[in-house]
Amino acid sequence: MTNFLIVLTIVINTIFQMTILPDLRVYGIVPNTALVIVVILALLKGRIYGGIIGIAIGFVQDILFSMVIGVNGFIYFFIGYFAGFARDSFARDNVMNPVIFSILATIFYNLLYSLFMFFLSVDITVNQVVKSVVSLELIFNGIAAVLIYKLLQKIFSQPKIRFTRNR
Amino acid sequence: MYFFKKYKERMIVIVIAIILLVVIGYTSVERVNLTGPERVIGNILSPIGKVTMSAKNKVTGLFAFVGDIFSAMEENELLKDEITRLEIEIRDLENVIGRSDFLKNEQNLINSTENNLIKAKIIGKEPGNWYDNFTIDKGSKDGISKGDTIVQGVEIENQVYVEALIGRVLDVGDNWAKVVSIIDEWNSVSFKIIRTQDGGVISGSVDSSLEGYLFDYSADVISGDQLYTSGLGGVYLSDIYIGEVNEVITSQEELSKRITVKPAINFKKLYNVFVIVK
Repeated sequence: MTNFLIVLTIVINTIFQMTILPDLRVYGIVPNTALVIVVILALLKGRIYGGIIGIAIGFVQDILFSMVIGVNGFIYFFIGYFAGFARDSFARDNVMNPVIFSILATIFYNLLYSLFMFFLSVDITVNQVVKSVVSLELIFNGIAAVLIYKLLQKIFSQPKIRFTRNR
Repeated sequence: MYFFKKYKERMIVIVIAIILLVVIGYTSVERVNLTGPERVIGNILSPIGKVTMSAKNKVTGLFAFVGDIFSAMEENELLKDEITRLEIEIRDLENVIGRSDFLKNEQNLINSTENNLIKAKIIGKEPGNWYDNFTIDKGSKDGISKGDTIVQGVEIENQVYVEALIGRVLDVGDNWAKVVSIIDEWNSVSFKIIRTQDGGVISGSVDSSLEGYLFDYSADVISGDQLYTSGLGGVYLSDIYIGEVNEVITSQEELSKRITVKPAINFKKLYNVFVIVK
């Protein structure tokens, strides 16, 4: 059931992101909801789920739109995997935690993306890298993280008391 | 075996990372066809995207109608300003027409060439902030093949309609195709200036503007010159309208003449496009 809900989340997000979201541009910038969803699901479900979801979302995005397959998959995989380490140690009730993780992930994403672009021989200047990292996307992703966390927490929350060892 | 057990997870992560890097390396060169899994995912997702996109367009249209009633007053004022602006523009355009007879001939030529056009709808735009690619709802079943040119009709002068360049088909699925636009960083277009037949190359940049340079340093180019594709290299068909020169930057050090180009198409408001089938 959980796996089905995760697949459904990925599909709905992809459709939302490719049809409605590009029209909601503010100063030409859109929030990256895929990134936020990877971070939040990783926080809720752990590093192994995080990694797998990251690869899935990244590959769907790569296959549908970009020239090079795997760049988004690679970045989302590591974001999901590393964010998942914090599953057992972060306070679930505090909504600021996913926000901070999302903002850090956005910085990480843009830096790594520029690095890939550099090695794929795209003409990119330091100026553009800084501009992509320090942009409104940080704030937008933070806001998106609050909304998506409230939504996904209800769907994917687990019982607090458990009788088996955590993985 | 103890070593493998202890570091099992780390090794899996590293192996996945290496596989992904190999995939990136493999796909970063130009490919001939889509692979099997890509085809399946694209075939499933693109019809869903099509339905959502058309539903969204209807809803947006409804809101726009309600908004129109309230904005009619403001619009009146705006239109008056617009008339003044257009009168100035007409004077400028007459100047251009009078100066260049061959421009008209060239356009007649374009009108007489009958390219084989297929109409296509945009079903999805790339979500990220980096690129401007999109997917369309026609694929190999409709006769589209990799490398086909994507255009849209625009009016450049009174009643003269030409095909304006949008981009080219990058990959083809059964009922969808991936399109890379000319304002994308990856895409370079060989152009010629219609007035003087000088040639050069333009390419997009990360911030979605068109920039390029001319082959000839002493070439005569002014802002407002019209650019057409030259067909050199065989990537694009020749004689497709690109846009107007916006600004000419001459740099003495580099011994080159750089130009910025205002494309004829508003890439933020694309819904329907045409594919030229070879």
